[in-house]
Amino acid sequence: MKNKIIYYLPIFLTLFICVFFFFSLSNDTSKLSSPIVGKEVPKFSLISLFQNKDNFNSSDLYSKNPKIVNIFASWCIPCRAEHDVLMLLSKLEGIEIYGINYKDDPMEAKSFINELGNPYANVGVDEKGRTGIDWGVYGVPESFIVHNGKVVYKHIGPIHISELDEIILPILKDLK
Amino acid sequence: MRKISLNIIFILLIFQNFGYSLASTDSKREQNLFKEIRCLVCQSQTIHESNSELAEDIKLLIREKVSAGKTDHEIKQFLVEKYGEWILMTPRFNQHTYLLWIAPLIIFIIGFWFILNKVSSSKQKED
Repeated sequence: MKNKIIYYLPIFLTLFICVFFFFSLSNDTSKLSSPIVGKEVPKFSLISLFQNKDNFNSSDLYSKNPKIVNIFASWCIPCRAEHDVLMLLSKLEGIEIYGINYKDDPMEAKSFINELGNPYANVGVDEKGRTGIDWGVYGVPESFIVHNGKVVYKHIGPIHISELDEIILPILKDLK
Repeated sequence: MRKISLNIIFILLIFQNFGYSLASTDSKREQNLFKEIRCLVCQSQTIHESNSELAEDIKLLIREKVSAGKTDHEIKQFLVEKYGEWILMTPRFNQHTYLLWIAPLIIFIIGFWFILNKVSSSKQKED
């Protein structure tokens, strides 16, 4: 009797592995969990894209009001798609969006904002993408919700209008 | 006089070689690190194989850190803090990965034990 169970074991094992692989298939590997979430924001000081504004510093993110940091570039097509959502978000009370202009030509970034509107309280210029690496950026757009200088949430890819309602706004509400 | 100038040239040549060998160990270290770091855009390639912009940026960052005298461990630790364990092509041995590392050994031991059992029981039958 004992021996018979052992003979069936390979079949069960194979089935178990099949089920495991089947569920692993549906994991979206393009969206990686970020180790930055829960940690303090990286230290940086970036020259502002706007002439009349001071540098965008990490110290700007230490505030009781939650802030959004959006990594964008004028050459990034999904950023265009996301821009309307950012415009909408910036009109909500007490929410400030900061931009990091990632590996972009400042002139083109300016015309991007002139054309589509400016949702940003300030935009830091990261021409070489070095600050992007500190934020763990591997594709644009990426957005972070920051509270008291800590990263609360990371969003990879453009924020869709439905995600605004389902993910972003509930987190912001909780933080207030 | 001629001897002295020859000596000077000789000494200079040694120093030049010394500098050259230092530079080449650095670039060897860089190359080895490139082969250890995953490109997050192309995912199953290393940054050594990839020409994506992010891979190029990370290569530049590694070069900077190597010439700033950082150790391999420090550089990897920096990247893991920013991008997560997944950026390393070889998973490190820790509380999340110990099963991954020792599973082959465990499976081997079970298999070995299984074969031993079979062999000894068939021997008993023969006897």
